[in-house]
Amino acid sequence: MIKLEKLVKIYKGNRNPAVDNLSVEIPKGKICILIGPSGCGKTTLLRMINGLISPTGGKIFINDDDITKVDQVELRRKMGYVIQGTGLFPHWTIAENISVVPKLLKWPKDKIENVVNNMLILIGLDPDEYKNRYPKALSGGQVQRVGVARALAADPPIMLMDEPFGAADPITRSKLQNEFLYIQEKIHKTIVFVTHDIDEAIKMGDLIAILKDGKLIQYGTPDNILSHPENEFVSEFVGSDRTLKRLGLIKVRDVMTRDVKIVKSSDPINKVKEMIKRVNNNFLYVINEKMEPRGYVLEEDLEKGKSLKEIIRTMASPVNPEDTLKTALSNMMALGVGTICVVNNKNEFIGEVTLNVLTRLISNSDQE
Amino acid sequence: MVQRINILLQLTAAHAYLVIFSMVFAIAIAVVSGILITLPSWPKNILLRNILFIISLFAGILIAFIFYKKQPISNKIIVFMLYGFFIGLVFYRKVLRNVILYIDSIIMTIPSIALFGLFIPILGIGFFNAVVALVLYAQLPIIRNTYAGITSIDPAVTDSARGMGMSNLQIILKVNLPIALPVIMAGIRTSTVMIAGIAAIASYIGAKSLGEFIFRGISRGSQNMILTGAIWIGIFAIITDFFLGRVEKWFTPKGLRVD
Repeated sequence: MIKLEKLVKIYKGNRNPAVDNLSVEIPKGKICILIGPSGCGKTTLLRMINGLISPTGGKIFINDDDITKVDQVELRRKMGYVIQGTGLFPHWTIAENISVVPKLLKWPKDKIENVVNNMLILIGLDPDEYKNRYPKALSGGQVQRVGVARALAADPPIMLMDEPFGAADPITRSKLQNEFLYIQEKIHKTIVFVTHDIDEAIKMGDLIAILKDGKLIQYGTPDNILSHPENEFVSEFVGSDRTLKRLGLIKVRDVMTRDVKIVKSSDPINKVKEMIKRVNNNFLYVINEKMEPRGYVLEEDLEKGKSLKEIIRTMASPVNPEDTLKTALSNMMALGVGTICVVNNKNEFIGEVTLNVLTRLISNSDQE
Repeated sequence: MVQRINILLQLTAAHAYLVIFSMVFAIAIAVVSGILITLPSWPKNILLRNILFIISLFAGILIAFIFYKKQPISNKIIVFMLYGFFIGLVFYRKVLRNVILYIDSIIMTIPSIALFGLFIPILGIGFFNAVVALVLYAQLPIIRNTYAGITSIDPAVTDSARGMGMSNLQIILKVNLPIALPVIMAGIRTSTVMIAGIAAIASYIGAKSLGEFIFRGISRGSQNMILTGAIWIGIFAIITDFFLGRVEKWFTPKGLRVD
């Protein structure tokens, strides 16, 4: 846990504080994003946490220890530090780069070798191929990955990341973000992450702190910030499409209706007619013997055909419970329908999401 | 014939000794001061820095009193205050940097023979006078290159080194120096070749070197002697340059080599 208490930093010769009376508490195992326009003090704040800059006033606690009272060098060895451009040491091989902190901590040799191999596997690089390469022989994306691996090598409980993926192109960046989130799911570090990209913040963050002129404007979960922006600055900063962005945060499983009446493709028409009257709806999903959704039937079509197979209509491609509502909405729009079915890993029908639910959800919480 | 070759070899050995002896000192002094001027001022507190500066200034005078108790000390005090001043400058890296680089480029403009002559009243003639002058000459290319090599390192590299918990000394020894090494070596190579030439002139103030051939040749009007000296010094410099080129390549870390 990291606790910042009334932190102030005034640079020499500057009147305005770079960080102004800022208090934040970052819980253990969460990713906290520091975001704001350039010059808002986010990098200063990050560098104060590992003692590279000393605060003018206020206190920083890590697990209830005041960091000014512990040895700065020791402190930094317990924190992973990744910066934009990564700063890999050009004169050392990838293996030597990754083993920097373990070597500083004087780990035994075989343990270090193990860690290097594990780290390379974790970031998806083949140890035998990449271990003895030099940074100049890597692509931009690989360099960023090695930068993260180097910070993780000594298994620090805290990671500080200053725009770690800022230099990568959009495709590589989103790939790196996904990989990193996947890694974080396994390692559960407390992460302070600086960025100026709101989309990155929403995607990566468990908590987002929005800063402006060194002051904390709003601190909360991405959903909270998107649905209840504190003031005009925040709502402008998160963008006018913030409602749509929220859809990217909510998982299908949280809003899906599980109790949905369905018919089997082998069922006779009469039975379907009865059911459709009972459910008070003008359509029904059709599944096959293996519980896989095949499509849907409309009430008005029931008179036209003799068997279900003749009148079945194509539905929007199904989503998984782990998908976001953004995907669900996009799939619905693709076919111009107002509903989409949810399937599990075995492609079995487990529920549905309707456009009505989406609009109600978004508009409700917006008015609260 | 055999005797002449013997003399040639002896003088070559003396020449090489003079060059190597001077260069060892020059490299040690220049690299250290080159690193020193890249460091931020220490201590951070300005008042403390001023106090330390004044202390080192008076320490110079104190040393003068201790060592020269029985002798007239009036002129020595000034010399030792100067020492104190330069030691004190260590606490003002920015000023130190400007002073060192400025003084060194001034020394470079003094003709070598004048510089040798300048030290005769203090050090007399002979080997040590030559060494002091040669060391002074060899400074500038090495200090310049050390300074440039270290300051041109990507700030992200040193920043991440510090952020990962390397101490200042570790950053200098493990990161800054190895990365700047090719540039420093290039400076050492330049100044060694330069010193190999100037060392010839040192024989004018009584230090044994290959210059003896030229000076004796001039006084005796022997063209053969002059040419022997001149060509041999040229060959000596070329061999030195070639050899140091190899060393430079060997010193360049693999990850920094341009293939």
